[in-house]
Amino acid sequence: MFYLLMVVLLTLVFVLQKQIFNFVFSVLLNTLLIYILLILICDGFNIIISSIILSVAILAISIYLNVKNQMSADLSFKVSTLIIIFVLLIAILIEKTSSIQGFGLINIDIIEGMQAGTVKFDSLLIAIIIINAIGVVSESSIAISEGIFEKYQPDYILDDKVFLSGMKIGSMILKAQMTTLFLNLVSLLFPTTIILLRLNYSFLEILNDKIIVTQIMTILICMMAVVLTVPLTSYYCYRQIKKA
Amino acid sequence: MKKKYSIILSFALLIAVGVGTYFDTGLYKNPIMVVQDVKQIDSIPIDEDGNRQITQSISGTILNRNMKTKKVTNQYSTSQMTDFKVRKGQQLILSSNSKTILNIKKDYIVTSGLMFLILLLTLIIPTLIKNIGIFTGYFLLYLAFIQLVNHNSKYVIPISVGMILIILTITAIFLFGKSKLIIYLMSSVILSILIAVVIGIYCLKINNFSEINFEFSGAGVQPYISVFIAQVIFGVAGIILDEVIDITASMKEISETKADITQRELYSIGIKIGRDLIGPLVGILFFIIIANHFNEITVYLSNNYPKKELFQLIISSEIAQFFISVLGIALAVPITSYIFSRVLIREDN
Repeated sequence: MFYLLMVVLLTLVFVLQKQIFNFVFSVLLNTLLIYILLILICDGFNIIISSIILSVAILAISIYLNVKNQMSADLSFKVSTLIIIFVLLIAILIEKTSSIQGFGLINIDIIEGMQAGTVKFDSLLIAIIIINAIGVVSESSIAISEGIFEKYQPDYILDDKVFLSGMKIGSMILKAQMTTLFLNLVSLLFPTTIILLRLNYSFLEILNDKIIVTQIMTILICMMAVVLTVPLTSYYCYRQIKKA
Repeated sequence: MKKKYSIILSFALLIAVGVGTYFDTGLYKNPIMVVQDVKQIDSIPIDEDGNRQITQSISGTILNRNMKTKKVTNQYSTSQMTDFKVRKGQQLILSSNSKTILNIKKDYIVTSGLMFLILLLTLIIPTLIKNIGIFTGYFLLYLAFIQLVNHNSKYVIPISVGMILIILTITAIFLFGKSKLIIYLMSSVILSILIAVVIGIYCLKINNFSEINFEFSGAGVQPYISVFIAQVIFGVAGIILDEVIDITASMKEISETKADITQRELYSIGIKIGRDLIGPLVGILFFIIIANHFNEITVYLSNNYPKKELFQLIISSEIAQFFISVLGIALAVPITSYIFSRVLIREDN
């Protein structure tokens, strides 16, 4: 692992040059924030509240460290926060109806002889879904708002085209993001599916398995979040430019 | 007018599919019970952390066997680590003698989620309706892929690579349009992934993969290393494609507007655009990889497991996956910039 880390760092230094500090700093900061979240969860803090607070912090860091244009950074931050609240609501709905929290039959041997402590796995599921969505949501809203602000300078005469061009940029990003998420889902899903097939599960049994449903729902919610990011970012860009 | 009707009809169809799976109990061999009443009949403390074991008495109707009313009991701990609380309205899959609960029926949640996503997509960006067909195709491809891998576990990598190539090429054509550049675009993606995976696996092989526990992380499917490589490629391929398309689109635009640009200038423009992309793209991967192990990490942390052991047992293979992916994302920048600075300049001439 050490050699791998060294190769990765060297490559990053070669490609990013001065920006490497910014990059390493933001990765370390994100890791630290995730670690703090995990510690808070283990110490029995309310999981939903702590994950909301920390995800807003993570969003702020990943947006303000990566985006140079102040206007587009503010906007992406606002939109991402709104979307994360939507994700929270959907996640609560899923948790209440599907009971997919915790460990399933396949990964139960990992925790043999361990106790749950103060962790409530139903709330933890919500935190998992929110953290999953943070990266895609912030990336999409940054990409859309930067795309729009690049074209439209503040002195540009306003028309509805701002919204439409946002939607156009957004639909391109959406296509790419959907494929990324789908492939990520396959990456998570296929080992689990193979195990279940080897255990002679039928298609219906696989579709009702806790882990499979958790993985599918998490990615589906991420996709919904990305879809909603497109009109929301375009709309706020439109308003922002109108004000300016 | 005709268009309006077809839209309403397709919406109705979507909703019907989503809701319909709630009533597909006839497909199940085991009895399916819809929960009509839940009563908590017992609650015993089980540890010092305040967890209790709750016993529920559940009554409901068996839907796929002459609609008889049945009563079963369910026990769960308040942490719900491995068990679950039963709620009114849920459907339970029972054992064939209808005495114990095997699982909660969840297929309708997946289909409803999927249908909701499609509805959202068609309402917000109607032009993307065409893409739903493509995703259905991808899904069928996935089913075929799983069958192939299951029967030929020796060839996990070639089968996965085949599937990824198909998906990436279709997506690239959709995003970039049919063009000669697609070949160069795909070669940039493939080269970046290939170099990253080869270097990554070589680095891990120096220590004979001793630092990585394949058994617990992922799902522990044999052959471990091939499955690991396939997972890495699946995880990062979409992100790299996204990155490569972003870089080339901007480079193409610039080479078209500035006729006198040199290859060197174009290359450095590509690098500059790519640099800004790396941070957010690595972010996507980072959060997806880490969030999927929250369950295991919290259990190990709250049981005061040594951090080193936690690291090795639970997330070592994910960290290796993350590093290889970052390597791929970083390498894609110079590779794409180099290939396209040559190609675009040559085309101009």
